[in-house]
Formats: sequence, structure tokens, C-alpha cells
Amino acid sequence: MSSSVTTLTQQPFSVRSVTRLLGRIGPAYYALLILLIVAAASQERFLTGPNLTNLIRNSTVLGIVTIGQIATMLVAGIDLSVGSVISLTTVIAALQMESHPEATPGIVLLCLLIGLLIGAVNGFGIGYLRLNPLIFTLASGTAIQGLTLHLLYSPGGSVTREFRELSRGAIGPFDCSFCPGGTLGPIPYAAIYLLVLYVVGTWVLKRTVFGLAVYAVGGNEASARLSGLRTERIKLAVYILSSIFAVLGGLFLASRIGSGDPLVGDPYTLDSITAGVLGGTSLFGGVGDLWGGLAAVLTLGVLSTMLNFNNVSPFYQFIIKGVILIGALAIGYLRTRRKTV
Amino acid sequence: MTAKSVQSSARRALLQLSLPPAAIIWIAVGLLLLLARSVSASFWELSHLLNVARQASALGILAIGQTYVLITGGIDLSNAMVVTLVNVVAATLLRGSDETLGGTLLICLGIGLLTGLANGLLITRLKVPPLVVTLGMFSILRGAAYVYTDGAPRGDISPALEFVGTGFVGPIPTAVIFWVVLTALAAVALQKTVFGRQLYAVGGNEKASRLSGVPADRVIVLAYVVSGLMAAIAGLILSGYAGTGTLTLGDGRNLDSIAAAVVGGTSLSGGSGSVIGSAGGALFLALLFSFLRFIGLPYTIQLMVQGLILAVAVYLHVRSQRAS
Repeated sequence: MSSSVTTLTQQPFSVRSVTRLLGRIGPAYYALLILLIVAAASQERFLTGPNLTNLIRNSTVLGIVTIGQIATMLVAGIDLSVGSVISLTTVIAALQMESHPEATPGIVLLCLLIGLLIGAVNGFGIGYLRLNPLIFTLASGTAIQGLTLHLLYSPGGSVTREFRELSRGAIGPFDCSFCPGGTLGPIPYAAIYLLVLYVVGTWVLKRTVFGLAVYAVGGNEASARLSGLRTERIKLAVYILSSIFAVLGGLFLASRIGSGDPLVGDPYTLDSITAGVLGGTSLFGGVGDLWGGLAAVLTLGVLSTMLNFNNVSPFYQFIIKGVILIGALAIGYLRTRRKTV
Repeated sequence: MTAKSVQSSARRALLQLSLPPAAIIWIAVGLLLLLARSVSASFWELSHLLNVARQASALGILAIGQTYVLITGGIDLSNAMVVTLVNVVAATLLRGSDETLGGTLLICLGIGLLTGLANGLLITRLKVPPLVVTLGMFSILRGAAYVYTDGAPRGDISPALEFVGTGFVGPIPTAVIFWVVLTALAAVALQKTVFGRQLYAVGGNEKASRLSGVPADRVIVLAYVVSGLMAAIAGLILSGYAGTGTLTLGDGRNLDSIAAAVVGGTSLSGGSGSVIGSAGGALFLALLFSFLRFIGLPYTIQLMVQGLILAVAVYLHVRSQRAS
């Protein structure tokens, strides 16, 4: 094509640099953008306050957990225990708040400490004993699932009224937190949690020594170690963070459903991996960032909202999710291959 | 002698023996049996042990396919949903009678074969990591099972399949016969055929195997096809046991099959492993659960112990690899 020749030879700032920039943007952003346009164009209800509020609230747990999952993927690891940690958190929060409603802050702290402990066990096994992360977090996840079912076999318990407000509340001129679905105008707390966690998380990953070390360990563990990084300690910290984010997700979920459920966290394990991969994070470590993950989480959320609007059976979501997951990586491969050929 | 020196000399003796991992898991099975016997003699009864073996058989068959895939350096998370899909399809098509048995079996095996083929082709042609492909396939198959049944599975399994799931030939459960035969075939194929040696070569060093003329892509695709087929067979056997269609029949079986293979000495990084070891792993896990139930521990504690055992098994495995 003659136009490509001209861009190559004559115009330094041109179509080519734009396409190169567009090529760097992950598939999750495109998917989100296209889905948002389609959703907004086809459904007038989509861009209303209650719907957007609901979308954010439905995406919050996955959004929070995905931060931790991406961190483990960045060090070439994986955390299959997050689902059980979420379930355990809802169970402990609901049971404890039911019997000691006055001690809610202490109970939240207790949950975070449990997360710290679980993450430390995972991180010790994977970082210091160098056990395979897939199998080790599978093992710890199984054990935690057993513990959770032992504490509460079927859904029960209840969180305090104030604690429910954490997920249902909103700030804004038309604050009406008890209205069904919220109202047009206020910003849900959930959006603020997500924004704060992603901004702080990105800052830590991109601007601190720890964050750069995470990328270094994931990029090439041997050379990271040779250049003096304590790779074991970094992995320990990453798995602790992953468990703590799972606990935070679990606390939000407990607040949202208002009770404890020993199996409620189960889907989040695979969904958080899906979101990380879709967001452009490599399973082999060293490549990826949080914002892509958030775009992927919201993509999945918009998708399920649209399917609901169009009365598509929710069962199709499983199929679509699977196709998207495989497709995102297949497209990435085809694109790089075309470039090299 | 202090306890420590006894320990270290025992370890040295073990190292000098340098037992293959497959042998270690069978020794563990033996020790577990002795422990169970010392707790209760009735655990030791043949009928009870055969019942445990029957419970292990579906897991054991899944573990055969998982072992093939793990040897190539891959992983198959989709096998659990092949089990579920096969189960609901079989129940719907059979509607409790053997009339449509032949066609149903073909369709069910076809599901396993096509799943494996799709997994293998996506992994080799589009270079998507096995974890992602089979995770995506897991989701697709789950969707397929829900859409096919509209969320409410109907129908019943036929008498012939129930015989496979719950029946006996003489004193031996039918499912165990299937397991033993498939394990023997898979073990011979792995050790004595060109395909088997190529599996190890591809898993040990894919690049080197390609350079020395191994058709690596075809070998990898075949491994996933074997895993899909084994999952379909396990699904049929489990269907026979369950008797009806249920959307949860496969739940957790992907991770269980990985656990059985890993406990049996198969490495997650590829290039090593054995079907005999995985069979031992499946039997060990089934025995352990049966034993824990036997001494009255609830399911919840069993899960905790399962996690613990798995963690200890990988730890020992890594230790023995580093020592050698």
C-alpha cells in the first residue's frame, strides 16, 4: 500500500505511531470500550445511575481480588486459595458479628489478621520452600475450604446494620442508601474503594522499590536474585497481599449479602485469573498491570449486565467467558505473529 | 544414637535406595492400610477394600489422562466439566433405558475427544498457555451443560451403565476392572511405545525434542485427546454410580486428578511421571478419605487433611528431586 510507504518515509508523527500506541493497549480496554458503546446504544437503561451503581457494586469483589491475583501472576505465581479465603471471611464476619455486634471493628481486624496468616503460609511454602504455587495454593485452599465448612456448613449468620452500609452506601447530593438500587447522582462507596485500591496498588507496583522488585522477580528470578533482591521475601509479601485483598473482597461481599456463605467465594478464584489474563498480565510473570485487570473486571460486569438486559439465559455467560478468555490470548498471539512475519 | 542421627542415617539409606516416586506412593498406600488395620480390623475386610478401590476408579481414570498431559508440561482443568457434560448428556439421551446406549456412548466419547482435540489445537497452534485454554474450556463446557439442560437436568442412567458404575464381576467391582485395564494400557503405551517416549521428550525439553525430529505438536494434541477421552469414560462410570444427571458431578475433580498425579510423583513442570504412580495416588487419596470417614471425622476435616497431605506430598517431592 502506498499510504503505508508514505507514513514510513515522510511523516514521523503519523498514523504509524498512533497504530503503534493502539497496539500497546491491551485487548481488555478495546473489549470494554466496544461493549460500553454497544450497551449504551442498545439499552437506554444502561447509562442510568441505578444500573451503573449496580454494575460497580457487582464488580467490586472481583475487582479487589484481582489486584492480589495479578500481583501473584507478576511473580510468575498463582493463588488458587483466594476463593476459600473469601468464603472464610464472610463466614467469620457473619458469625462473629452476630454474636458480638459491638465488636465490628475488631472483627474486621481479626479477618485481616487471618488473611495475613494464610498469605504468610502460602508465601513461606512458595517463596522459601520453593513449592509449586499452583499445587500449594490448591492445597491451602482445600484446607481453608474445609475449615470454612467446619465453621458454618450452610449459609447463615448476619452482619451488623452499619457494616451493610459499607457496600450499600453512597455519597452525593441525592444520598438515598435505602432506596432499592441507589439513585441517580450519588457515587457508591464501592466505586471509591475500587479507585483508591487501584490507584494505590498501581503506585506501589510502578513507583516503589518493592513494586519494581516484583516485576524483576517475575521477569527473571535468577538474575533478580543475583542482583541482590531477596526473592523469597518478595514472594512472601506478594502472597500476603493476595490473601489480604481476598479478605477485603470477602468483607465487601459479606456486607453486600449480609450473611456468611461457606461456598460463595468459589467462583472468584478462576474469575480473578480470567480477569488478570484478559487484562494483559502474563501467567509467566513480569508483564502486566492493574488497570488492564480492572478493565477486564468491568468488561465481564458489563457483559453480564447486557446479557441480563437482553434476557439471555445466564448460562450462556459461562460459554462467553470461556471464549473471551481463550480468544484474548489467541488474538494476542496472532497479532505478534503477524508483526514478526 | 540420638534421634537426629537416626533420622539422618535413615534418610541416607532411603536416598541410597533411590526409589522411584511411583514406588514411594505404593509404599505409602501399604503403610496407610497397616495403620487402618491397627485401628479397626473391619477396615481390612476385602469387600470394604474393594469398595474403596471402586471409589478410587473414576479418579484413577481421570488421573491417567492428567498424567499424560502433565508429562508434556501442560495441565488439564477442563476434564471436570467433561465429566459433568457427559453425565447430563447421557442421562438425557438414555432416559433410563438401554435402547439408545450405543449412540449415547459414541456421543459421550465424542465429547471427550473433541474437547481434547480443541484443547490441544489451541495450545499448539495458537500458543495459548494450557492453564488458560483448559480453564476457558472448563467455562465453555459448564455453559454447554447448563444450556443443554436449561439448568435442570432430566433423565436417568440406563441399567447397563449402572452396572459399570455399581456392579460387580465376581467379587470385583466393574469400575475397578475398567480402571485396572485402562491403567495397564496407558502404562504400556507410556513405557513401551514411541508415542510414550516422545511424551517424555516433549515434556523434558520441547525445543530439543523438536530439533531431534519429534512431532511435538502432534504428541501434545494426542495427550489432551487422551485426557479428554479418559474424562469421558470417568464421566460415564460416575454417571452409572450417580444414576441421574446432575450439574455438579464433575466439581473439584480436575484438581483432585492433579492431586492424585502429583501425590503419585508426577512433576508439574513436565518430563517426568508415571501412570502407575498416579494410580497409587488415586488409591491413596480414596483410602485416606475412607479411613478418615471410618474413624468418624466429618467431611470438613477430611478436606483440611486432604490439603495438608497434598502440601506435604509436594514438599517431599521437591526435597527428593533436589537431593538427587
